[in-house]
Amino acid sequence: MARSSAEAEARPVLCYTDVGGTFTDCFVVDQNGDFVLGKAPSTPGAIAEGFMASLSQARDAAGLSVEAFFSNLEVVGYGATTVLNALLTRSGGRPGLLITRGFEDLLLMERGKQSWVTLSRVDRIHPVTHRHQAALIPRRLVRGIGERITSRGEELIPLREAEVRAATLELMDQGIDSLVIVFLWSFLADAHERKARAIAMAAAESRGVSLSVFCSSDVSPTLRELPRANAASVEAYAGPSTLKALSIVEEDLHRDGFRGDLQVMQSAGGLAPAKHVRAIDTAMSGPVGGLVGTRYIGQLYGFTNLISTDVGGTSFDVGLVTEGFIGVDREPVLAGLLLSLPMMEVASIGAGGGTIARIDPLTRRLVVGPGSAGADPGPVSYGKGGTEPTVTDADLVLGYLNPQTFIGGKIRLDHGAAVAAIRDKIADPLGLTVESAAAGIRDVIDTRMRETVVGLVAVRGFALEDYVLLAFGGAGPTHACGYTHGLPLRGVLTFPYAAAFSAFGAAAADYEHHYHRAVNLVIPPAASEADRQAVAESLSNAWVRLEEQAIEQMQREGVDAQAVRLRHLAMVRYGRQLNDLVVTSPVARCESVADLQLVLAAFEDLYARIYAKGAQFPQAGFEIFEVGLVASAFKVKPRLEPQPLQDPDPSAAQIDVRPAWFNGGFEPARRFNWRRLQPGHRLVGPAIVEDPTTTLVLPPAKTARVDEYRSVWIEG
Amino acid sequence: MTLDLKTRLAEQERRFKETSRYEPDLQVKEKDPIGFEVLFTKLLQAVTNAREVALSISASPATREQGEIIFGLYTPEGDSICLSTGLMIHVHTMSRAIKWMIENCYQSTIGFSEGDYFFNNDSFIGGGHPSDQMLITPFYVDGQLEGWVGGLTHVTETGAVEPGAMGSSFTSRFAEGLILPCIKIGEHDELRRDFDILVERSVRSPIPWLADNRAKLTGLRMIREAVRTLIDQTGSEAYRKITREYIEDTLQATREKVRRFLFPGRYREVAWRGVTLPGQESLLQAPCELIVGRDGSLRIDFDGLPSARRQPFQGTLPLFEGMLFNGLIQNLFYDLRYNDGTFLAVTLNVPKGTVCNPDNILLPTTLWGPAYGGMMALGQCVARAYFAKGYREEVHASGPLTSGNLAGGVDQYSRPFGGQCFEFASSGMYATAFMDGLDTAFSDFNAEGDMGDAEVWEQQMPQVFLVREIRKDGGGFGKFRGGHGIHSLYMVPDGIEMDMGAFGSPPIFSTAGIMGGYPAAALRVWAGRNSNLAEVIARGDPLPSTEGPDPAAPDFVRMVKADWEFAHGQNYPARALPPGSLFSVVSGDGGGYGDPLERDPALVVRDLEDGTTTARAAGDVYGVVVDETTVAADAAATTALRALKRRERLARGVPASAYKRQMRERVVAHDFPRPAAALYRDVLRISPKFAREFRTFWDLPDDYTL
Amino acid sequence: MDRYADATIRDLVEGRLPLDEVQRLQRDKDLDRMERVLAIEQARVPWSDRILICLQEHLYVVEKGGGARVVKCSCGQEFGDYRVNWKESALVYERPPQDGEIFLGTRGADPEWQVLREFYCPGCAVQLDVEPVPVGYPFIFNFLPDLDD
Repeated sequence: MARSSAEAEARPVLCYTDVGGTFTDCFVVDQNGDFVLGKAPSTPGAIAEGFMASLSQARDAAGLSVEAFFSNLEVVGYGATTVLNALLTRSGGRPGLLITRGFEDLLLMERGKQSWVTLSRVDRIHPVTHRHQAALIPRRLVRGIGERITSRGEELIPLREAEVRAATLELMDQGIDSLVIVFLWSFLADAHERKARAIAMAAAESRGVSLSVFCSSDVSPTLRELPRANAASVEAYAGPSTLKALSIVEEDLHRDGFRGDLQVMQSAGGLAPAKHVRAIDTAMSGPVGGLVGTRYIGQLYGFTNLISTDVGGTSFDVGLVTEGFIGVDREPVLAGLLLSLPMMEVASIGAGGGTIARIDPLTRRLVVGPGSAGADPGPVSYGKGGTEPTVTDADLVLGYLNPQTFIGGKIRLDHGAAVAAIRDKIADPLGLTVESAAAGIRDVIDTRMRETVVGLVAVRGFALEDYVLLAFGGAGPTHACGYTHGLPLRGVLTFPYAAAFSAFGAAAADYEHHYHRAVNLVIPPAASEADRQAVAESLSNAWVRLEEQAIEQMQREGVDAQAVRLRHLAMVRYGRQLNDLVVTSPVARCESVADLQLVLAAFEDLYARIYAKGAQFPQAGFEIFEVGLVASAFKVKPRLEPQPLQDPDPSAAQIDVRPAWFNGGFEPARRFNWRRLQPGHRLVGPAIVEDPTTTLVLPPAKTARVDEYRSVWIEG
Repeated sequence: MTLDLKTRLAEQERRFKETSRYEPDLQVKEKDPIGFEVLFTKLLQAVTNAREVALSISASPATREQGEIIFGLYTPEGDSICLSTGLMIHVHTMSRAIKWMIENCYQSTIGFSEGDYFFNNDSFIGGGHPSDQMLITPFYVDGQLEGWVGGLTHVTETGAVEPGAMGSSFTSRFAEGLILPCIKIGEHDELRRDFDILVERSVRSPIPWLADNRAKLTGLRMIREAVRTLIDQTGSEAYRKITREYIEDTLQATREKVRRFLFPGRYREVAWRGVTLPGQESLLQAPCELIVGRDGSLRIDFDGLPSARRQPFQGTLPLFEGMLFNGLIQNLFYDLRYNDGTFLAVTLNVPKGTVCNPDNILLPTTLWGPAYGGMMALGQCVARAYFAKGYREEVHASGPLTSGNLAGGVDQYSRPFGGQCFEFASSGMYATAFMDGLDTAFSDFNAEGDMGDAEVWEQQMPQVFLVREIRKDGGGFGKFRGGHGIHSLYMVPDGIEMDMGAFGSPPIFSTAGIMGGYPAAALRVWAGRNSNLAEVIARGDPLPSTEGPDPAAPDFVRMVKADWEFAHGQNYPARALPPGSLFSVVSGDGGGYGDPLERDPALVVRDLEDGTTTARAAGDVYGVVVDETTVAADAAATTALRALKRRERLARGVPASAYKRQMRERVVAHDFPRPAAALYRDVLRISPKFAREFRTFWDLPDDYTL
Repeated sequence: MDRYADATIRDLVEGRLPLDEVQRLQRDKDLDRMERVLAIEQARVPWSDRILICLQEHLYVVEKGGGARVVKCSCGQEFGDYRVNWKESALVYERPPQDGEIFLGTRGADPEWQVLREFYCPGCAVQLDVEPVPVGYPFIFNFLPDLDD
């Protein structure tokens, strides 16, 4: 895997491309599991250009002809922030909105929460910093429609059809290019939304226009009108342009000889064909790769509980894989908008190589982050105009980073500048030496990262002892020993390809779709057998509906029904609670009360584990307001081939011995070339392991072991 | 323990009086600034984790949707070291409760031990009102009491005379429902079943209360164990020293911040509240005087408060302290550690026996009134002090009088219920010196304000929203306008039996503007019984979608026939509303900033397009002439109209001296409307300071009274 | 931290600084702000008396030739010694709270409970303060700066 040179006979099977804000990265794996990388500037205007450019880079690296390259590829995966950028820059379409009369102001009011949810802890307590999100659909393009469904799914006010027709035509006169329909409780009873859509489309056709109409009950059939309205609005606002861009990319691929479908990474994890995805489901593909890769590594080694930690330039992202399943956030925030769509759960804090350290003038406290110098101007040592000392500068001052070979020597780090910045801005004000100040910056940032890991696991009631932690991202190996220090983890694992891990992980994704549907099942403490039987059946029927939906879609996408794996979910809570737990049902059907009891028992076990026995509350009864289904099918993956273990002595890989700062002083540390480390090698700290893309720091008393997959286990 | 807690507490308070320092030095911080920071990060994570877990267990919308919850870590003497975010009001109210138990000899009588849980919702001891329910547990290391952990949530049903706990009709403590003063409800980490039974049989919907107790228990245990682990690493001695330094460090930072960012001087603002009960109507003032010292000291004086009385619009001293420190943290100390260091840095005078410091525990303290207004007055004082120093980005008017509705009865699942639609946690924000106040997004009592989704409320309560909109022109007019609050129109569905009520104010302006800005609009309730809504729906007649421009005849009143009842000011004790009834309430709006004639016409046009201001206000208040066709401001016509309006001001304004001469005659003749007369009579009697200034201002004899 | 540009501070003072810029100032405060704001304000007013402090929108305490310290409006109108409430030298209008020009009907307070007391500058007619108070309430003396050195 570490050999990133491609052999002549290598046949590329898998390609994953991540279209970022600035760069488009491409990761190509051949049937031996070897990989090559491609990188090209992103072209936001016309995504396909940057996309194909990055592919041809990888193709050159592999030394293959266009024909040989594309005709061999079995899968081309794609991850992009297209939707996100459209939202952040408010550069999307011009949808109109039909909403239950009386709620016309919904998008202007939004929820108070949207005015602070993206802000730091300090800003949240400082209200003059709060700001509304600009509405995706301006108020003048909103019309109220007479209709109403109740919380029991019953009709209170019949749909006033004439109003729908009139409003649609009015909005078309104002130049809308699509229409969103959001009615209250439509996820329980969608008849009004569907009827309204039919009327609106007919009205448009009467003018010879085919208007695309988005119903909230289709896009996000769950409780809470704002997140539902947000989801539908985003799909209407950013969807058409995104899907158009995808189809262009796919055309270009086919033109060059690729025969398969373009597969798009979805926010909930898993790939799906571009021609079948919804834009909103692809909005947050960024952190997904790392988590999917983490799960894949887990399968390889036989671990079901893993923590993924990704240390980039500006942020530290932590995710969990528990019992083989990736944690899902059901109320995520996208560009400041609350959503109720399943997305992979990632806890993110402003902590990375570019994170800025400063002294608060008032309290003389050392504050590290959340602000970042990013890549431009970047750390002081980049010499690109950065003036604020960063974590990378501290790593340099302490002798961990090699100023000559950092990022493959692309950037020559200015040691003197880093020293000066830390001395003037941190060390002198605190009355510390430059090195202890730099060590302090590391200590504070590592602690914040460590506490984020502890918090994510703790608030879910899980035990660190059950987890293996994976450290990746450019700065992951550099800080792993720091932020895992003292944690009772089952193991800490990092990789020579840590910097490219997310792309590797995305390439390892399966085909996958997540389905969910609101139900209204209340089980009072005194519920009779008959009542429970009724609930059991409705629960079962809800799953059946989702299964039909899933099989139908997977088949449409070319997956054999037999190959589809299903996981049945029930979102269960005690009576009147407002938060439910996602329970993986032990049964795929609920024919009897006994089956229902199995589901409830599974809930109570999970609840007790997360919130402690004392918190159980069965006397309140149970409620199920949502059910879910995860359907997945296998896809070809990068292969990791075990290699024979060799003599533990790593001397052959040693570059030299240089001083590095540990525990209050400089000590001679052996410096190794990561590319030359072989399976079986053992390292004893203090040691530094250099790769063009990352640097592993091994303090005294820590040891490391290179295993048969060239992964590195940090021990001690 | 060498000394008993009571002695230690007294000793510490004496030491602080003498040295005005909480800890004599900051040795640990100075020797190891990094370690100092690192340990605090861990403590903070512990309380933050606990809050996140508790949020997901809670069964009360106020907790889960509005985040009405906070956790804190305390010293053995009960001083807060570190708090989660959430209800910052309670930075200090849980300290109060812990100290109260210590001072009342709980140690020697009831006894403290590991795994004990004390419940309190008596606001004379700590917390804000019976809805604020705290759970407190001591923790020990090697048999030594090392501190306390506390958690507090706002529970919206307490078995009071009115459902939803916050009734405006209460005239005594006995109306407020189940009040428990620091009762031990758990031992050995188990909550007592007989306490659950007490709650089950005392309140309309016990589940939120009981579930929140479990949420707090879970959170407290998490914090306790996390801190115990830290103490194992640091050792008890070091832990005690460093935690005391966190408080001293905050105390010093607080003074430093005042010195750097506020201009020294004397600031005065007055907030207005009041009560309208059968046989009792009083106007209540919260006169705030803030003195900023050159040394960074803050002196806050509320001399001039009216006397406490048998009505719910008053708050206890712990609550009032909580409100004021909540305000100071949001306005000034947001970037410091949140702990009692802030509290210790301020000297506060709140005369005993007044509506913000009642000394008779039989009085109700449900709705805070002037205790809430006092925080806004203080906020405006701080805003002026920032302004003088040039920090305009912190300057704002008064926040909204957050007011809401109560409901109780039998819900759509045939379960008894009682509670509040807590959407007023997301009211209209104050205008600032740089932008309009946010609409429907803010409350002073919880910076992380949210109104929750209508569907969530309808799942919790039977009433149905017919309208949920931005209250047009609700925010105070100004160069920058106050944020508008929420207007909600509810309907009682068929087959539902319920009471609804609302709490707010008398018919007054309760939210002031600043520097030429106007106050927010007055609140009000409309209740319509025996409506013909069913026919309106059946016939397909137009349905109301907004309040509309005319407060005398809102759209819904014109479109739906009913026996309509109007309450100016929004105090409306809960009473039965039969199916088909309509109920309209507003949540409160923010005060305005600056002269409305200086408002950027483009902002007025934007508001017209969003429908958040009316054409009438655009012309009459802002002097902006809008071209009907282009919907753009007519610059020339606007300049002319504004010039005219300025001339009108000069014409109608009279010199202050002349105004005072005329008014003095009325004052001498005791020619006041009744609410003013009652206020002056009371305050002239109990506040020599107010009396002196009143008499001097109107040039009255020293024996002038009413 | 880096010093904020003069244009930034001026835009803030004039209430037209972009809101994300305002957030930067709210998060990271410069310590010489007062001097810079005074300089900007001094440049904005059409008169030359030295501004000692900004009392509120449009009002300043200035030092006169003889060393007297008086409250002065941006238009040049003077309100006398700063130790006396400037409202004593303003134009006053007691507005009926439901007069329909500002507040329509019950959007305003009940006149029995409160009136709107408006204070205008006799020079430029700018509205300097609005007090919602009961009849007969003394003028509120909002701010007495501690200027003595």
